[in-house]
Amino acid sequence: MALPKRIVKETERLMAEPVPGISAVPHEDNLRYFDVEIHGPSQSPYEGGVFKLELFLPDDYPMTPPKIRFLTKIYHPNVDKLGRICLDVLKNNWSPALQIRTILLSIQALLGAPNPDDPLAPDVAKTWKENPSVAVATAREWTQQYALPSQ
Amino acid sequence: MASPGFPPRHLDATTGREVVYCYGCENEWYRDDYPHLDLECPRCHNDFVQIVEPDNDPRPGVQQQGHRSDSDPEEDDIEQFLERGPGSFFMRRSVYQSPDSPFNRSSGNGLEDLDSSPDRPRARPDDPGEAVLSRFADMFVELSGARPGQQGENAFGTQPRIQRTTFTRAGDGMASFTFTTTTTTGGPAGDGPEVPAFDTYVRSRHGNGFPGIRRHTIIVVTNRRANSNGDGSLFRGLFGNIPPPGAEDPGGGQGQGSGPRGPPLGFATGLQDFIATLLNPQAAVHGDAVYTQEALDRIITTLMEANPQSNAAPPATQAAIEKLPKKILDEQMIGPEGKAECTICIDDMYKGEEVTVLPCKHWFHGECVTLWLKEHNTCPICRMPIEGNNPSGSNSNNNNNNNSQPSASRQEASTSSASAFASTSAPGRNPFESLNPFGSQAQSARERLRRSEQEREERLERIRNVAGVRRADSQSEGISRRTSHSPPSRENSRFDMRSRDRDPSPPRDRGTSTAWQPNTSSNSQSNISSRYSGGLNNLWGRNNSNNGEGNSRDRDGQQQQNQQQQQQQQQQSSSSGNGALGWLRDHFGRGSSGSGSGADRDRERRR
Repeated sequence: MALPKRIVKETERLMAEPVPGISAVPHEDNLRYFDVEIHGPSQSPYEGGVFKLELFLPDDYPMTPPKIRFLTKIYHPNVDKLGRICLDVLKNNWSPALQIRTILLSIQALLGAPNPDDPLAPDVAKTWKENPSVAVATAREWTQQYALPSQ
Repeated sequence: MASPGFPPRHLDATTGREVVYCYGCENEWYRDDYPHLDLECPRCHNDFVQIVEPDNDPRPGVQQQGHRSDSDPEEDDIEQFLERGPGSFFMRRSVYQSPDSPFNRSSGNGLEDLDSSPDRPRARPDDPGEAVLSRFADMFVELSGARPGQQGENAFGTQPRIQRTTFTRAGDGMASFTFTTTTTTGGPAGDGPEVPAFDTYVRSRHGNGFPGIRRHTIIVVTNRRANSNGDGSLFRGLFGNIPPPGAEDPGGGQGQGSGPRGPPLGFATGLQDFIATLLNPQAAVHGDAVYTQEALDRIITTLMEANPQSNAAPPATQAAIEKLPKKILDEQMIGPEGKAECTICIDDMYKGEEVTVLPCKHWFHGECVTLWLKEHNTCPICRMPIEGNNPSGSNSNNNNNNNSQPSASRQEASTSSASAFASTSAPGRNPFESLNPFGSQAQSARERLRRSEQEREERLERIRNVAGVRRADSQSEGISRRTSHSPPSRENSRFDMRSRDRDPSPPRDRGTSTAWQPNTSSNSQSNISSRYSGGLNNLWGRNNSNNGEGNSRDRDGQQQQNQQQQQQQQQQSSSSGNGALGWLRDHFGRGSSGSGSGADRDRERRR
């Protein structure tokens, strides 16, 4: 199936004007599948970490949201241990006016502002609410342990 | 809880002599009185016994001495509810390990802590509940691959050994039973059907995974209500009663001496752990039940992926999509750069291209936005719904869309039709009203039905008026004339009169008129409609044969009917969705409601 023009354009723009701290590279054999890296926002427990994600554009994209998942282990109330992300714009609030770029920015923002009131990982969220310092320390620890840049 | 509060019949365990308690017959004795028996009950020869310790006393009445002696009579009730749950089941699970004998530190306290009857009967193998429990235990035994009764030295090695001890007690509505699992581990590695979670638990908690360890899980379930032959109810309670989160087994707060002890567990948790312990956790899915987090995750993923946008906005109706105005891009819309972008396909757009404009003024390629609106009825940019909250606005949009008729001429059309209406109906104005003191409320069922039919027709006509503005100007001269020429049947004129009678009706009619939605009384309506349409068809047939104009009129009608039908659908959907606005439409749209009634109605029926 031919790749929709929008996907081609989005990919070109992602390459031409990359977002700082975010990279998304399509697979050569499947231009709908992207390897994503998001840098942990500064002044967050994820600072210094580079988080790998996978992103897939379904056939009906942009009428349905891209499918995104963390591959790097991350201690975050809105990311479960399979890497699934609880983010409204990836679900009910998707709109075709959003793009790969904006979605990845949203995820980066989510790293900077975890929302334990809408958790996907209840145990993490519980710690986050009841004992934030422990949670942040754990998140930092995990970042050091799992998300350090490979180079 | 040392001696002071003990009832006198209990041996004092704090004196330095070891007191042993038998779970089977509730016997208790000093251990050194029966040195030859070494932890076997001298009375019933059961080996399910425990050395009593001050802080771990399984004997009835002893354990909760502190609570018991409290004089507050309410407390017992509360405690009973909290700890035993509404079904009066309670369960405790104890895990302990020991390098030597499995039962020299039996841990199952709390087996029966409330019944202080000293002459408690022994286990009754012939009890009907026994058979069920036996099967239940055998099930676990088979699941784990162990053989019942496989004990002794040959159990050391690769297989877990499962022992079961059961007590049932009948007669006073109380039953209790105990499962005992003994997992025997020959060494830290290569232990056959191991039980990872369990294993992890023991090691992590106690840090001593040395060889030769034996671990024992004891689950004690007590049901205070089970009767002697009610093994079915016993099990219903067992599986059906899940205690509220935080409800713990009654022995949870008790220490277990030096023996490690499992955390206090609710019954469901305990049973689940027990099962998960025995089953292979990796494959632990059975029907609708899952026993591991992984299995649950798999199911949740499936559910999430199956319906990822379940709460998103609903699709827009075809009619709503079609009536969205289209515009040609001009400088103002595009901005100074002379080029813009359709946000959906992110393609460039230039002046002169046609776009579809949503009520929020955001515009897109028609195809693009239609694709989206078929999924969700909101603007991709601002999420404003494209329909439902502004019917007058959408009407005007619709007008702009048709774009052939300014509103003034629509006004004109409606007034002219209203006057035509008045002239046909004037003669029969009030004959029934004077006889009917209750007005519309006292109408007979028949009249009601007729009215609903008429209501529907009025709706249709109003819709047609809105949609048929163009016709009102260009060709409607002929049609409206024909309207006034429409068959002067008696039925028809009564019809008209009624509709006029209802026109000034107060809002109290509103309730009935909503109830007249075509779908609610479609049966009666279709009856009446067919009755009428039969007559009218005849009349029209005569007209057609007499009148050569019929054919051309039909052709006009065909086109308009298509349009009208769409309008009708849309009207129905919006009016049913919005009562207050529907009411406004009903009452303020009245002025145009009478127009062209005969011809349009007839045309509709002829179709």
